[in-house]
Amino acid sequence: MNVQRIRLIVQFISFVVLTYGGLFYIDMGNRMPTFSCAFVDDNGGSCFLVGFQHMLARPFSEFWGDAGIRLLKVLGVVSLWAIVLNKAWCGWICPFGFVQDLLTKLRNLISIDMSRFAWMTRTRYKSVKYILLALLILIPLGIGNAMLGMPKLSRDWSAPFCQMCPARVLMPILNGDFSEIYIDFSSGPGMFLTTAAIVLSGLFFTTAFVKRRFLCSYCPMLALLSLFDKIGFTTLRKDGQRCTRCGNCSRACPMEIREIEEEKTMSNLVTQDCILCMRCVDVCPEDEALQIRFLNMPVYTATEKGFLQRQSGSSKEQVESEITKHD
Amino acid sequence: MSYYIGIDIGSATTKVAVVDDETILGHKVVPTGVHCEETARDALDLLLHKLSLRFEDIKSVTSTGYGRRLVKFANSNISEISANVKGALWYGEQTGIQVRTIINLGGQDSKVIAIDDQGVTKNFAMNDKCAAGTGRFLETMARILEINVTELGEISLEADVPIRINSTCAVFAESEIISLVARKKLKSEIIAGAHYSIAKRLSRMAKRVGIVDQVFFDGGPALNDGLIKAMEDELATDVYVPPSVPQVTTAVGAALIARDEYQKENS
Amino acid sequence: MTEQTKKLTKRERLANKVKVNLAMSVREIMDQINDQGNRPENMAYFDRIFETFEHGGEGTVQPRKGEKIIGTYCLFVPEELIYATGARPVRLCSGAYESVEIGEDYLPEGACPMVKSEIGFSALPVLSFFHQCEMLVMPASCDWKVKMAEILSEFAPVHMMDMPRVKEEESSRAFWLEEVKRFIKRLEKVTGVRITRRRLKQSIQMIQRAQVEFHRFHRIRKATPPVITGRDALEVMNAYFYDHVEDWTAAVSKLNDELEERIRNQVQVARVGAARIMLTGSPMVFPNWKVPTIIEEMDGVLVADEFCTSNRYLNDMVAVDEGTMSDMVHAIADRYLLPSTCPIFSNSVDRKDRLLQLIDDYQVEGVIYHILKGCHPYDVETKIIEKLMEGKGVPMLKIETDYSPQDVEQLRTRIEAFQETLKGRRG
Repeated sequence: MNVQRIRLIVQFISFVVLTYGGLFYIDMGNRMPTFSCAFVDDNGGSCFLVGFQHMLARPFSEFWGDAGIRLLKVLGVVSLWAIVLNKAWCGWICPFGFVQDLLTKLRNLISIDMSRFAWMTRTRYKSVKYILLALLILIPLGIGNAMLGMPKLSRDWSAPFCQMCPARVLMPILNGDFSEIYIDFSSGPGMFLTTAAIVLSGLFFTTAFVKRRFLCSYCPMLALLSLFDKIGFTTLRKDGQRCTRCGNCSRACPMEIREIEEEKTMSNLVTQDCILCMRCVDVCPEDEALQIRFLNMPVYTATEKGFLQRQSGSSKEQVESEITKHD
Repeated sequence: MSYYIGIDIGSATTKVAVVDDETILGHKVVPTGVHCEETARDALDLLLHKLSLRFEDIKSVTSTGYGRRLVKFANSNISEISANVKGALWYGEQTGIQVRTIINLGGQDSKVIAIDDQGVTKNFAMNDKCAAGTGRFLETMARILEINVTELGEISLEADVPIRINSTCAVFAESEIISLVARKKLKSEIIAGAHYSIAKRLSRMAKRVGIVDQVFFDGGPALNDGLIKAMEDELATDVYVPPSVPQVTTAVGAALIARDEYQKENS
Repeated sequence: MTEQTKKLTKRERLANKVKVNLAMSVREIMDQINDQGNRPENMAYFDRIFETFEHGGEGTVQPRKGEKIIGTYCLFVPEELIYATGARPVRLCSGAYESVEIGEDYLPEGACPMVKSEIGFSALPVLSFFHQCEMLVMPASCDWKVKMAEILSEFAPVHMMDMPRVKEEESSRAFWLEEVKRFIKRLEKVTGVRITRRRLKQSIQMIQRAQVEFHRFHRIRKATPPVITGRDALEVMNAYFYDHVEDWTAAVSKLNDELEERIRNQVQVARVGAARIMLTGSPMVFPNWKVPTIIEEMDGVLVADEFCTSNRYLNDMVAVDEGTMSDMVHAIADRYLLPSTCPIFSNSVDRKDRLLQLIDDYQVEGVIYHILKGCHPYDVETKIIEKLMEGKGVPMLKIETDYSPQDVEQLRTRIEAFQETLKGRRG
């Protein structure tokens, strides 16, 4: 079975569960580190960011009480999720990512070539997601506290990330809810943030026909999850001696990660932008050069035979029979 | 009429040639016996008898070849290099070829002589005390293959691909050929291989001296068409062989030298 | 001597000389190959290809109907593209001693024998397929090849592909991609066929099928004791130079079946306890079988090699990602540049890792590092590899030679001694 097909199925299931699960009384809680938007009415579990941002918007002193414990609880649940599944949240579960992957499939269907960032550009933009993550925490804190010599921010800044999040605009549409497409003219910050959300939603569609998973590179959730890369249960191992640096992995990587090709010594190649889509393992032609492990157990290993099987496309049966015949 | 004699006593055969003031009258090739002088004398008598000449008609005799000093009745003797050059140039003139390189393959020796455009010997090379790449080698091979030496050329031309004979030494080459026979290799290909091995050796020697067209090839083995082909391939140039009897070039040259000397003395 | 032979020009004469000597060499080598005994029956297919060298290369390359021949030098020339135009790539790297002398008229004595040999064959009508090429494609891989292109343009149209040397860098890759695209344009012009997405996909898959057999063949070579000799393995790979990829694939498939049967029946081709040798360094092309012959005659067995003419040839595969035209072209460009272990590149890390991996995979006991005199890229890397082998604890013998047979006996002594040492190390 093709791993990408399995991934697509898993993505589809999680998309259905997370977007429509509410209709079937599914509730996986609202502490999930993935873009299953809380504004989707029938969601079967939602992104933790809404509550998280609201919790942060209070004076520091309150954190020494119940609020602090509630915050720790949220962080605890999120960390647990992040450690168990790490980046699989992005590559396998995120419904917003799934929609992007579907658009990529559409682009492939109509044969539109994708473009790539120059290496320099790609490297430079890496920090954007961390900046967004920092703002996502600092702005709510700034509502409850006067920090950095600035006065307290107005309530109009509350849940700033959700206000500017394109998933908030787009995902409810899939639930028949078009009400999130708006610009909030009631306040300055509101107008700024909701306009950004509309612009990002537009980019979401246009970039899907130019690049793969364009928005993911700037996603603060990815930044957050990447903090758990080193302790996550899922790892991506590379046998440097077997690697020929053929570059297939980095070329096929939707996140345009170069380390996967260049690194020969690093033991775990789940890097900050990795979404664990395992596309690199798909296109690796060297036996055991790349390997996905869960709790150190191999789950998906690159093999020459597998590579050829996946590559053969239309004449798949033929190569398969050839390969099995030779086993 | 004045007649002049050239005698070339080689290791395998003795060659006698008679010339007059204008042309070659005749020549004779006999195997060299134990007594060189007697063999030479006998051959000469036979030839003179055939030409209805008497020994007394002869103005001068020049001997050449290994046994040249053993011919007591010769008026003079001369090295086979000079005699060969003389003879080759004469044949060249007759056939309209400007000879610049002579390759001579004898029974036990081989030599390459370079001549300048004035017909003067410029340089030469000889094999040293080794039968590799000489006529003797061909004879040995013919014996092993149980065929006549004269058949070698014709048989070798039937070969598809010559078999490489790696040994250059005649003795080792002999055992190499025996092993090839044992491995049921085609005779034609073995012989052709031997021809190329000789040709390669000669062409290496020729390269030391410097090959300039035209190339003249004489000596007994020059009768062998297969060897000629091999020589042409290895030297990558056309090779000219004197018509009918390539062995006698040197004897003819000696006779011509006898004539020249006589004429010079008596003019 | 007939009148007809007199009419031969100097060029024809020289060609005859090379032809007959080449025929003799080939016959000699074919004899040595057959002397190995216990050869797989299916080697006959490959033998036939090389036997044609005895007759001026008639039938070495058998073009299909309407197929144009594109001569290539080096494995950097993307064959997928050539097949996609319906043309036929023939790799012209050559190993014949006989034509080296001719090449010396064009290049200095210090040039590597391979380029000299290649020029010799282009200059003289010895092997027919050298003169049937519609175009020659020359990657600027080493300095000799750069100048060779200019020399060869005297004989046939040459397309030069410039090569970057720092393949890790973005600019190098972009540059190479452009070179590949430029090659496509030239190919389309020469063949008059446009490379469509469908054609390219088919040709990529055609070569991938060959690579299936290639990899299967090399998995079989890992068997201990080996079921095929190193010389036969080199021959199989060398045949790919001249054969249509589909025919080659079919023939190797049959051979592989037979070899797997041999593994089951425990057929052996080498004496038990023969030293397991890996050859690497400057490429070896038939009939330059000098070193492998000595290795295997002196109680060694050539279990692996790291040559661009053999193990490296089909090792790396094109990985199509999204399947659009530009994606496939990108994939092809990457396949030829990035994983290459050729020493022309600035960084030898890939080659080092490849060698270590081969040593592990094939249980290599000793490495023979072959340098053709004048082959600077491999020569330069010697010390680096020496150090690597020292670290790995695998003895290495460096051999510097050319195509001439003169040093055979010296090499024999050295290689025999080396192999004896290897056996002595077993303790």
